[in-house]
Amino acid sequence: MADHHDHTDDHDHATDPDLDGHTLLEGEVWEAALRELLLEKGVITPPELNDQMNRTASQSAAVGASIIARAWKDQKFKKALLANPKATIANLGHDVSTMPDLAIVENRVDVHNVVVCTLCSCYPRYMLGPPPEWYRSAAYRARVVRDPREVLIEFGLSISAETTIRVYDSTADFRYMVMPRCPPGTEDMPVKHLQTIITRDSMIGVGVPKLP
Amino acid sequence: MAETQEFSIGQMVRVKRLWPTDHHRVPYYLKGKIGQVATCLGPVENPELTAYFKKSSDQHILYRVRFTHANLWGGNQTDETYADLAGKWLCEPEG
Repeated sequence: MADHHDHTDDHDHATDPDLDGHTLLEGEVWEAALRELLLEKGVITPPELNDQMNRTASQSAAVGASIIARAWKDQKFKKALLANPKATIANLGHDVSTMPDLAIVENRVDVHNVVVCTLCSCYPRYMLGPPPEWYRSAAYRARVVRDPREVLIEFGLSISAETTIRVYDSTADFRYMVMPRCPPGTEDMPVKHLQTIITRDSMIGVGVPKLP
Repeated sequence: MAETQEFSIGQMVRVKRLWPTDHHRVPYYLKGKIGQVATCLGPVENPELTAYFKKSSDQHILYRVRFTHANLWGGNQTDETYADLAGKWLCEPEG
């Protein structure tokens, strides 16, 4: 069989990496079959598919960080955000129509919050983007409810013995996100700079914001 | 028909020891454990039906329940776990 990759003329290759010497995984075959059926039968339209892919790709922890940074700077906004997260986020111009119910839990001197989904991998994707691999791992899910202190130490976070650790297990349709404490020395920092220190991990509760 | 709120905030409850093999939203580590109702989250659709694309005609009241780790795992740990559980999975602690 002639291998079309042998020649050297500079024509355009197919851009789909799946066709480029990559053997499709079973899941990829299923995905393609399902996607093509949904499109052929008109259940979804190509523009809808594109919109959803763009929406998914634009989700990242930067969304959550910008909202938390704003809350740190604006007490009135913070109060509204904690009391009614979805409506408050919608008021900022976000489209929350497809977002599940959201609870934002605030860290205090005496309470440190951490989020898990022991049953599967529920995660506030709208605010934090796709979950990290470890969040979905059986080890994290089993151990963080059993021994959160030890797990947090493994993440490099040592919680004082006087501080209660509260683990939120997302067992129903609420997604949980942590509002970390604002580190001292940030009083004069504008929201734009503050949001860069609010990491994904600090909003899951396995880290805390640190000044550079 | 909507279930009415049957547990009040602050009340101690026990998670029922039931082991259905179909989809349900109660992790094994909480079954049989005693916790305290922290918040009532209001009515939700029953995931035990909606997971199978069945219409959920009955709405369940969802509660956020607080479990101390001393209760879950023994010892005198002060840490705690919160989980969102439907009223049908909760009963009086002695039950």
